[in-house]
Amino acid sequence: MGLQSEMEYRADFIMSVLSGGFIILIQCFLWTAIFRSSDNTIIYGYTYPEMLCYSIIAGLVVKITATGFEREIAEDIKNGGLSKFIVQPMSYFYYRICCFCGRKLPQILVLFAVSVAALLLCNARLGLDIELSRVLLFLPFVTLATILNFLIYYSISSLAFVMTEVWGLFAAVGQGILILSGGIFPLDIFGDKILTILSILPFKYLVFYPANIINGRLTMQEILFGALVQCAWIIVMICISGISWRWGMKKYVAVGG
Amino acid sequence: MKVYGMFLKSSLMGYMEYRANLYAALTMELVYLCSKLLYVAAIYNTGIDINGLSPDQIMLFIGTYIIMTAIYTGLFIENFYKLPEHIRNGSLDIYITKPLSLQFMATMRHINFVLPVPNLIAGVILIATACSRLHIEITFLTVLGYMAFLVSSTCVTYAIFLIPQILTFWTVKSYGIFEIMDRCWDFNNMPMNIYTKWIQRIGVFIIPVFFITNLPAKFLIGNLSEIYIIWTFVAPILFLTAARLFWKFAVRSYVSASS
Repeated sequence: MGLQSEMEYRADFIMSVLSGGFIILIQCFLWTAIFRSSDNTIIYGYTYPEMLCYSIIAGLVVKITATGFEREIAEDIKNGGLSKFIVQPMSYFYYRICCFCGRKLPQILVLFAVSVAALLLCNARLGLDIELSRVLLFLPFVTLATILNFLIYYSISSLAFVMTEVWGLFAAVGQGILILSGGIFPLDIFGDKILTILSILPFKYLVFYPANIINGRLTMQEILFGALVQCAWIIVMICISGISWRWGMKKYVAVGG
Repeated sequence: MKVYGMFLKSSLMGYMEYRANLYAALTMELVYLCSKLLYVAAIYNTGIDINGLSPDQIMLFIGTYIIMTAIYTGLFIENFYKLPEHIRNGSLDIYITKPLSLQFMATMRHINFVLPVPNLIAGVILIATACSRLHIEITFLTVLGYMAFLVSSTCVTYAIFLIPQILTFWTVKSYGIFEIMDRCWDFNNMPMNIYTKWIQRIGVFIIPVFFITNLPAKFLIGNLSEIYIIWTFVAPILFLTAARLFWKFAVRSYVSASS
């Protein structure tokens, strides 16, 4: 159903995928201008090829891990659409996961092809030696990041039980997560203190970590530590989403037939 | 103008009715503002002149961008986002029956009072700070000239961001169009100097996304060429006319979804 829904309006799907490329373009132009105007070859700890590679891969990871179902959940709660799931022998959580996977499939196929092209470009034009082992490590990390992002947004969507219009909150949280995950700039621009605080929060492991695996800026020790933290946060978010939805369902009132 | 005043009043009343929604929208805009200010911080921390622009001059551009974002979100964005809904569920019919221009009703009916506030305040502070650091004299004529450029930018903003929305008369589902337009708006996060010459020319003269924030800032810096000054007067007329003609063409093909 999710796959059918996503492919129903193909022009819309293509434009949605293309829109992700605009952010990458802006960042690439910006960093090219900065590095060309500077006497330093290293800015914020990144060389020019590393920064460009980060901008491209971060943009793609943002698109891969993006959700979009939180507004539908808010509509289901607001308009009583959730009621049909209460009476059916089907968990709403598993329904949402399946729809999410279905919708993600065509996006991931397209983005995977774009990612391969981007990596080949980084290797050939930027002189960045991207190892196959890092690409193979990147794949499970980005999968875990997608699951973690899903759980974060699923937990947040339970706010729709107490607020009638949550679009503003979702947009605020989305933009906040984009900043804190390194989706706009690498987190190194915030300095070491903030980077240390962000290391214990889940957001860093959504975009910043996967993008820097490809870049080759993380050691194997750091990669393994990141994987442990990601898995720990997935378990924590499963618990939080369960608690928040149980609390929300107690408040849920569906009026009318 | 009287009708527009009534729209202003009813929009304000609508916003004050649900305070929780008001605070949520304000929070959203504050977070978006932080992401724009992040660009200022990132540029200042490098301490580099980027393609001939100092960090203070770049602050002028970003400040103008933030002010224009306030104008765009306050006057147009809500109307543009609602247009596909009106077309899809047939509520555009109600506007057709009114003794007012359909384009005016559909694209200027709602005015958002909440979203522009943080951006306006932050934008003005950035511009004032940058002008102070660059020793740009704030005279009555400077302010008047800058406001005139903002008015010109507002007209062009209305036209070029309405044109893609008009495509929903044919495409029905329009989330992709919104995403593309939001990303086009983001091209103004930085001055157009960071792009190549050809992209700058396209962005000013053909799809004038850069026109919106770069020309007012260039006016303040004092490096506006004659061609840009002429284009400041010509572009709004040209693009508003184009938007109007495209709207009239689209309305001719409109088929109501209601009974």
